[in-house]
Formats: sequence, structure tokens, C-alpha cells
Amino acid sequence: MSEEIITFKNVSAGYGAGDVVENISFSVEKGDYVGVIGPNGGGKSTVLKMIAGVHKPRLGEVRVMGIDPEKFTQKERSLIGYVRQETFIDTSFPVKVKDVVLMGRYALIGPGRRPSDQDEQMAMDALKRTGMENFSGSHIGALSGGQKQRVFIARGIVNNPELLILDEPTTGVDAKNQHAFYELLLELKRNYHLTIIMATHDVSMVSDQVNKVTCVNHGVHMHGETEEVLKDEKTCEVCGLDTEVIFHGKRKTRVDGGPHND
Amino acid sequence: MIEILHFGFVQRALIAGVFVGVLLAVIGVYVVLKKMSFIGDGIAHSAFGGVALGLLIGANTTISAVIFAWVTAMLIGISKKNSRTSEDALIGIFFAFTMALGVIFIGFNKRYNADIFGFLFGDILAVSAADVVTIVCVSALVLFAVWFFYKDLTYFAFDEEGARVSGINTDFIYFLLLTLVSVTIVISIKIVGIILAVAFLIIPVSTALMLTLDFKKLIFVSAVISVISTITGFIFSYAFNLASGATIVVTATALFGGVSLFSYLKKGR
Ligand SMILES: Nc1ncnc2c1ncn2[C@@H]1O[C@H](COP(=O)(O)OP(=O)(O)O)[C@@H](O)[C@H]1O
Ligand SMILES: [Mg+2]
Repeated sequence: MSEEIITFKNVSAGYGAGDVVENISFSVEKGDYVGVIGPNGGGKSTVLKMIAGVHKPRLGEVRVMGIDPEKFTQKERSLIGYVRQETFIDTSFPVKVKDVVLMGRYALIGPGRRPSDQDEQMAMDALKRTGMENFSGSHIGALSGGQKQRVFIARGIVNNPELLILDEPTTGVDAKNQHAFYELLLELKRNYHLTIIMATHDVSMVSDQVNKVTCVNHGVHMHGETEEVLKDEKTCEVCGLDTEVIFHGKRKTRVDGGPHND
Repeated sequence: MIEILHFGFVQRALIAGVFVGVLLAVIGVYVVLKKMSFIGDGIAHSAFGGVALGLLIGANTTISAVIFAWVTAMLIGISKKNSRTSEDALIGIFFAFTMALGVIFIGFNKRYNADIFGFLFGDILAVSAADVVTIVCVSALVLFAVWFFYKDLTYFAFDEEGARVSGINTDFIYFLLLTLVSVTIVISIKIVGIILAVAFLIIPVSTALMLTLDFKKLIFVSAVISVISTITGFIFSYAFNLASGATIVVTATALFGGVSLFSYLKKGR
């Protein structure tokens, strides 16, 4: 049996008035590639934030690498990379690509110290792995959506993490580059033995890449092998997915379309 | 012109002006980039309540203003984290409340107090030796804090949630930044005044943003622009007997206008 890297046991969580997700239980094993799907406001980001240790479950137990994410040491924390949709970040901010990636090292370096040559080297390596090394001196705002997201992936993997959390990473990336972006993720996963959990709207795009799917819509939660979850028409309906995807191929249909806005 | 440097009040004005200029520019970089201008405005106005209270009870106005501004900043910060009311509304509420307190305190004050104009609009020529010492010491402390937490502050300003996930204590950094803004504003009141302090937090940085997109250079260029404005403004206000705080801000704004025009023409070509 492989190692469990994420475990949710009867987790309920919300933001004050009522729970957003209720009584969720599932586990992710090392090397899994998990797609988190569900309608807007269904609780995808909330689940990911609990894994990242920035949102407390109200009830139940979250364990990441066997540890309560809120009690991570800095070293354990750096085994997690976290990438959100690029549009949440104001990239007119005056910062260069390489410095964005270096930020991933800041907490480990600690206050009062400057990044060392080794830190710089790690940032350059991460940029190389995402094919962005030639842009290290560019202003982040000068890049396209897809390029920015590659830079944020580089920041996410700069500490050679075990787990990469992605929250709708292709919002703001044009359709043409989305495919290349998913290919990059697969390549990184293969080469660096990453476990990936990714919230996405784009079920059709990833259904042939992820091996597990978690579908959250408030009180409803399905989790299992990709085929299993997606082939169940009822499951998809409850989770707010367009049922068409199940019957007609994977790549063709965009599910639950439209831009995400929260 | 050089001989005016022999005057004690001129030396004090220049030293105070340079330090406050640098301080406002450095803190201003974070205020502008983290889009905290409005909270800065709220803090400045709450300093007015503190000044008025200090004048009423005969306490040191710098200390009473720092306490007022800092407590207000903390209240805004805490309510923001724990309330459903929007941050903007909260700032507006606290801002009006402390300003109103200030007006009431001034009303209690039986002696007519002409000083209040100096606090509202700044008077660089009235800087005392004690003021200079306070300004230099506080500037050193604030600049040290920025140097020490430079990485944390920068990551926080760029991507708060990313910083938090990576292990940076963003709650601490947020309250640290509020503290630094409060102290910076109060310390600069003598030079540019309560009403104009926020303008001075924002204008040099906005000018510098048109000149560079490199974060470290931005801090440096903002500081240089800020100091140039302060000194030029001081010279004009001395030479033509103009209100100093206002002259400094007008100079800074003129620089902003000049650079805007320059970058517009450059782009147009
Ligand atoms: N910081 C927050 N404060 C209050 N409510 C929130 C917050 N973040 C999310 N929510 C609410 O929680 C619900 C689930 O949000 P989220 O987890 O972001 O869903 P998803 O990522 O699937 O779109 C939504 O109704 C949203 O409005
Ligand atoms: Mg979301």
C-alpha cells in the first residue's frame, strides 16, 4: 500500500454563518493526481486552504503528511507548493520574475537575512524546470497569463515540495496555452514524484490526466478513481456538472463554463 | 543662499526634512503597493484627535498622537479580521470618530490655540532640537524594522495568501505595517501636517513607479524624489514666505506632473 499524504476525516468547515463543506472524508496517496471539481462556491478553495493550513476545519480532522497543517514547522510547510489563479495577484507590482520565485524561499531564509547564492540558484533551477529561465530579469507584469502561471508554478516548486496544490491555475490562461500548461504539470509530476491536487473547472481537460476526482458541492461529496466518479451520471448531476461530458468524450466539452469569480 | 545654512532653525529643518522624506517614501512604497492609502488617511486623521487631546491636557502631542493613531490602526485591523463590515466602511467610521473627538477636545480648550494650524498643515521652520532628535531616532527604528522584515513585508504586499501559505506570519506583518504607518505619519506631522501626510506617503512613490519597476530601485528613487521635494519645498517656502508643508506637497506634485508628462510623451512617440 502506498503512503497517505492527505487525509480528511469527517471535516466540516465554513466562514462563520453555516458550513461551506460538510462531513467530508477522503484520502490522497503519494503520487496521486487529484482533480477537485464542483460548481462555483461549492467549497473547492476551502478544501485546498485547509490542506495548505490557512483555514481551520470547524469539525473533524485534516492531516497532511500525517501532521495537522496548522502545526507545520517551517520545514514541513515548505514541502507544500501552492498556486492560485494568476488573476488574483496584481502583477503590476514592481517585481522581477526571479524575485517572485525567490519569495518561495523567504520564510525559510527568515527575517533579517538576504537570499544566498544557493537560494538564487534554486530560483533559477525552478524557472528552468518551467521553461521560464530566459525571463528571469523580466517584470512579472510584462508576461502573458500562461507565462505568469509558469512563474508561479516555479515559485511553488522552488523548495522541491512533495505536494503541489493548485487552485484553478488556468483561469487567465488562454485556451491555446492551457494544454501546454497541463503538459508541464504532468512532466513535473513525473520527474519530481509530486503529488498534485488541483481545483479546476475544466473537467474535460484533465479527465484523462488525473487519476482521482473529488467533487464538492456543500453537503455533497464524491471521491474516487476518475472513471468511477465521472461515469456516474447522478454523481455529476449532484455535483453540479454538465452531464454531457460523461457521454461524449473527454476533450471536447467544456464543463460548467465561464470564468470563475470569487 | 548658502549663508542661511548657519541658522539653527534651517539646519534643523533640513535634517528633519531629509529623514521624514526618506521615511515617508519607504513606508509609502508599502502603503501604495498594498493599496492602504485610505487606511493611511484614517490613521492620519486619528492623529488629530491625539494632538488635540495632548494640547488639552498639556501632554507631549507626539506621544498622545502616536497612541491615538496606533490604537485606531489596531482597532481597524482587528475589526477587519473579525467583522462583516467592509474595511472601507470601518476606516470611515473610525476616521470620523477620532476626528470628531479631536474637534470636541479643541472646543474644551479655553485658550485659543494657534498651534493647531501648524499640526494640520505642518511647519518645517518651527522644528525644535528635541523634534530633530525624536525624528532621527524614530526614523532609525522604523527603517531598521523595514530592513529586518523586508522580505516578509514585500511578499505580504505582493501576495498575502501566498505569503501566508509559505509560512510568513501575515497577521504579524499586517499589524507591524499598521504600526509603522502610524508612527511614520505622526513623526511627519511637524513637517507636512496631518492633512498632507498621506499625500506625501503616496505622491513620491507614485512618481517613482513611473520611472522603475524594480522593487529595490523603487524604494531608492521614491526616497530621492521625496527628499528633493522636501528640500526644494523648504527653500521656496523660506524664500517666498509660503506655508512650508503645502509648498513641499506642491513641489512633490509638480514632480509627479512632470514625470507623468515625460512618460506620456515618451510613450506617445
Ligand atoms: N473568506 C471568506 N469569508 C466568507 N465566506 C467565504 C470566504 N471564502 C469563501 N467563502 C464562501 O464559501 C463558499 C465556498 O467558497 P469556495 O471554497 O471559494 O468555493 P469554490 O472554490 O468551489 O468556488 C462560497 O459561498 C463563498 O462565498
Ligand atoms: Mg475557488
